[in-house]
Amino acid sequence: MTISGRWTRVRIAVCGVVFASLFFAVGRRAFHLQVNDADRLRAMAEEQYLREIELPPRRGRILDRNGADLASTADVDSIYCNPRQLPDPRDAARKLSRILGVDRTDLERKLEQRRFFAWVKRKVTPEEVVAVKALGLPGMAFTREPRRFYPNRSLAATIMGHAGSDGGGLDGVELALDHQLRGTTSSVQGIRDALGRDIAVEGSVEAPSSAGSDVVLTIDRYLTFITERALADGAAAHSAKGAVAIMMDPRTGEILAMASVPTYNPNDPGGAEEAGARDRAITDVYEPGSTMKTFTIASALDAGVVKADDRFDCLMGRMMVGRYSIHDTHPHGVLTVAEVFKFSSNIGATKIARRLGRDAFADALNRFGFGHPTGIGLPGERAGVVRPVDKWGDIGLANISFGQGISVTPLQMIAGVSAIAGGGIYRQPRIIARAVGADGTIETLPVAPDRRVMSASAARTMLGIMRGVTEVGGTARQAAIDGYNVAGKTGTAQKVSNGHYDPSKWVSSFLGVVPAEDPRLAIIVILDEPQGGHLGGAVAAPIFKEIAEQALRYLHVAPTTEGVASGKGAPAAGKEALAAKAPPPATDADEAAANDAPATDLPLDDDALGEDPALAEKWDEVAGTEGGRAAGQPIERVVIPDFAGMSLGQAIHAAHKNGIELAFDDPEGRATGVALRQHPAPGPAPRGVVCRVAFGRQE
Amino acid sequence: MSRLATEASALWSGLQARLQRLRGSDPTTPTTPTTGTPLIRPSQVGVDRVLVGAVLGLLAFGMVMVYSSGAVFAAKKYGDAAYFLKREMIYALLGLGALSVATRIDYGLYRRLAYPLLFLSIFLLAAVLKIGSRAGGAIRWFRLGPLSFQPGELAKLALCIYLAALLARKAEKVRVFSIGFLPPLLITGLMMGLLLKQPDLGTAAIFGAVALGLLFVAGTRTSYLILAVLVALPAGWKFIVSTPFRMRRMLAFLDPWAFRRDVGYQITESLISVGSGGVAGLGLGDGRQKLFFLPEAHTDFILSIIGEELGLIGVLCIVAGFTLLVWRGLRAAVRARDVFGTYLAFGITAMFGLQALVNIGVVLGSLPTKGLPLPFISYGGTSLVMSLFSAGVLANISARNPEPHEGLIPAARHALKGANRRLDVGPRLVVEVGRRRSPNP
Repeated sequence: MTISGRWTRVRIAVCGVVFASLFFAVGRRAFHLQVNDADRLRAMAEEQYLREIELPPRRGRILDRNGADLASTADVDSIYCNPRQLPDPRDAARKLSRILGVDRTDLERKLEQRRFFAWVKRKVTPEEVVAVKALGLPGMAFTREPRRFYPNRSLAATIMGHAGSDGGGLDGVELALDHQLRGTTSSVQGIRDALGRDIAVEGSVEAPSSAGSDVVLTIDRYLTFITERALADGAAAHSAKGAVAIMMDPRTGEILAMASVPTYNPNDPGGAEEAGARDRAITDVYEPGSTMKTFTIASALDAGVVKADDRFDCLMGRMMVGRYSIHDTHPHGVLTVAEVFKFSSNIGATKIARRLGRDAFADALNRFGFGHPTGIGLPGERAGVVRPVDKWGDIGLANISFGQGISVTPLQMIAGVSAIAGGGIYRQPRIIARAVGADGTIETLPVAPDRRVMSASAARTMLGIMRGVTEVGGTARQAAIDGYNVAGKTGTAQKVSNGHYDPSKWVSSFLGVVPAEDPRLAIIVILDEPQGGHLGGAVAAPIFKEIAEQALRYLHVAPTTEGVASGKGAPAAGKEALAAKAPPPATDADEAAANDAPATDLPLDDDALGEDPALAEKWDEVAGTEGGRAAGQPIERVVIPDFAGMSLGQAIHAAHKNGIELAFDDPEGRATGVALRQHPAPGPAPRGVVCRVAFGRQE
Repeated sequence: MSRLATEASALWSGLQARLQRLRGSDPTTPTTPTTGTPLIRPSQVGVDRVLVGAVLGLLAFGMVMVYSSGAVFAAKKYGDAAYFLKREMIYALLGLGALSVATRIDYGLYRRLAYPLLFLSIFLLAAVLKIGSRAGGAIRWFRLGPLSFQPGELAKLALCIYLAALLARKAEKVRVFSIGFLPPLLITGLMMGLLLKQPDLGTAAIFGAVALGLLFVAGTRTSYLILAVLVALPAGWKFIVSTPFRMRRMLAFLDPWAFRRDVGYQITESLISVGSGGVAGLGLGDGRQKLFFLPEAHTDFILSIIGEELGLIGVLCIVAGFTLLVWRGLRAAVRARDVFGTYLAFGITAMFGLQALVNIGVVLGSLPTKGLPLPFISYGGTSLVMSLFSAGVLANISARNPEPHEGLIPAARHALKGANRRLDVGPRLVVEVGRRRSPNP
């Protein structure tokens, strides 16, 4: 009995030793984890709970050359909710969809997921917020998000592109200069929980986020407006599939207007793609047709192989080149070089190009910028196609001389003709004038240096030849403007479909320079597949005339021809009124910026923000705050903003901007949701004040 | 090397000396008239205050950590950061009452209650499968309004009592297969089967281990024990492989980082938590892992938060606390006044020690994930009350009280009269019952 008792003690002791060694083992394991592996595991822990709370700066504005707003940013309300707090998601979805006009089944699906967060609708109107609050649904919360506004609606939309809901540029200038517009985002290190909510902020804002730069464009809002309207009207009248117009200042290379049809409203960019809205001036290539003769003859004149009065036999409209025959629309006999251009003879152009020679011609086209992107700095610009010269052959040379077998962008054409208009100097087309930082620093984009592409005298001669087109007997009488000499060229090209020229599809264009003696404007108008008529002189020239006439008046360009009273004859009463309202000359950007008022009276066809009351209201708000900010604040005192409704990030941002220290009331470590209470109340306070803000879910 | 050898030989000679003393004690020493044989004659040392101190220390530690680890979750779920703390305090008060009552009841009583308690436990374990409520995929609880009761916790004590009573009664016959080996293993196996139905693999494994441990201490043939283990291992393996979630847990245990996004999530978060605490920890209440990264932060994985907030020091405090508890428990077992006391004390101690080891092992990634609470520390009502009650039983055994001679009812009355107030502070009166052992026999 006792032997067994003794052995029992021994066995218990054995168990004790086993226990002791096991406890020692777990202790050693803990030591291993917490001493040897501590750094690695701590890094993993920090990776999952530390996060940078970004404090995005306000996106810069896009301005026209006179400082008028083309794009701006304002805060709007958004509604989200915690679906877990909804007792009846289906019922909630029904009620919300009725107020907010969102798809009920979509919303139902979102709310039925038992998540902690779901957007109900982003970027809503104040009325919608009030209506949703009135529902009294549990779990609803409201926040403010920045939203991009385009106050002029579709004006210059295809140039500017638009910014996405996360604030990044998606197309056009918004994309090209996204870096400048975006500004530098500063961040604070914060702790978040596993549900991704911000809990608290550690440390202070190191570098304040600097607002995005304002981007100033070379375009003029008014000129853009008249260009777009004339183009849209013309395209509609001819049921064209698309249309492009570009207005350029040949003296500087600045684009004053660049319009595309169809366009879209960037405030609601959803339908842009579907509608085919894009910046056709740079993204579309076309066969230029007869407008190309401008460069054929200009090159020949520059090379000195022909003079304006050299004669060419145009063979009564039919000429064989190898197995191919070339036709003229109207048969001509012997024509001077000027007449070849005026009557747009294909045979004459072919003969001139032959005299110039293949290599010289190809070299000239290269100098005029064909086959390369212009480098205007907008996304999606195309190069066009100029085939290698050794592949041209005789027929290739002939075709290119009158604009077939070559593809160009509208912008290349206007840049090339501007070189002729500008005395033979090619200037890289520019649409982005500068980016002005929040601190006033000015950034300009690199521009290729101006380069001479032809002699000044040849350019002058060419302009003289081009005047013939709008004179009696020319192909574009309808482009003539009372009081001004217009140099130009029509173009009417058949479109290629299925490898053949399609006799029912045309591209009609007009390339014009005005005044011809001292060019101020170079304008190209292109219509894609106009119905009814298709001749460039009949379709595109009148649009050119309408644009140029109003632009000349707006720019106060003195009439150059004697005996014609400027503007007294033709223009209709409406246009007269429109022009009368136009602001004084605004070629000097600085001077105009100081006097922005006339630009705001623009008779935009629809009220710019019309159909969207939320936009209109927000726009007023933005305008109001801008004014308020300009009034300035005393420096010794700071103003405590009203934090109510701000998210953590917004509150930090606002506090930083106003020079206020922020403290969080979060006994539970729950600085989530939005600011509910604050102390002291909004208003002026001595510098150095600490404002306590309590966060929570809005009930 | 030589130093190690010296130490080992010192240890060995110490052990030899102790064995000698064991053998040298008078085999015919009269003892109190009990049916069992005492290992050491009762000397009336009173309740082991170190043992009770270890329990109370762990309990206090647990209260603080339940609040720290559960506050964020409680605030979110119940809108009251102290929700778990308040409930835990109520259970702790109940448990302290149970502790003090159990300390006063002579443990001899349980011997008579062994079978009723066993059958009650088996009945409740079976019943909970039918009418229990489900939480986290397991049926473990009876819900009674705001309270809940976990029969598995009662079964732990019932099993210890049953095995202790059985083995004490069979005495030398424990070496006989059909008497000393089969019945206890069948009963244990039945309980384990019911637990596995919940499913509660962790508790079932603890039951098996405690039963084998007790059989070993009681002197069952080692070959039987090896046989039992050899039978259990393939069965256990089959059990794991046949259930997909257990298999995935096993894989996650073998390489937790490979399964970080699903089954390994909890264990990797736990490792991250413990590891990021370092030596000194992030500071009490400053842990981040309880911000919903670590599931069950206030229950089974509370040690993760201890490791994060209090560092290696905190973890070692817990390990030390349980080591102390196990040491004093085994000491009580060795010094119990009879064999039943020895076995019961050993069973309870092993129950505590194994639970703690398994829980800590899981949290530190040394064992596959099991749903086992850390006794006295984790949030959980039944577990806390029953653990404290069991600790009270252990304390009573440690007191080496004389066995009351009265029957069952008077025994209870005797207990309730408070015959044993050894928890009281102050000079202790040592009452020697039976023949006083004279210094010079």
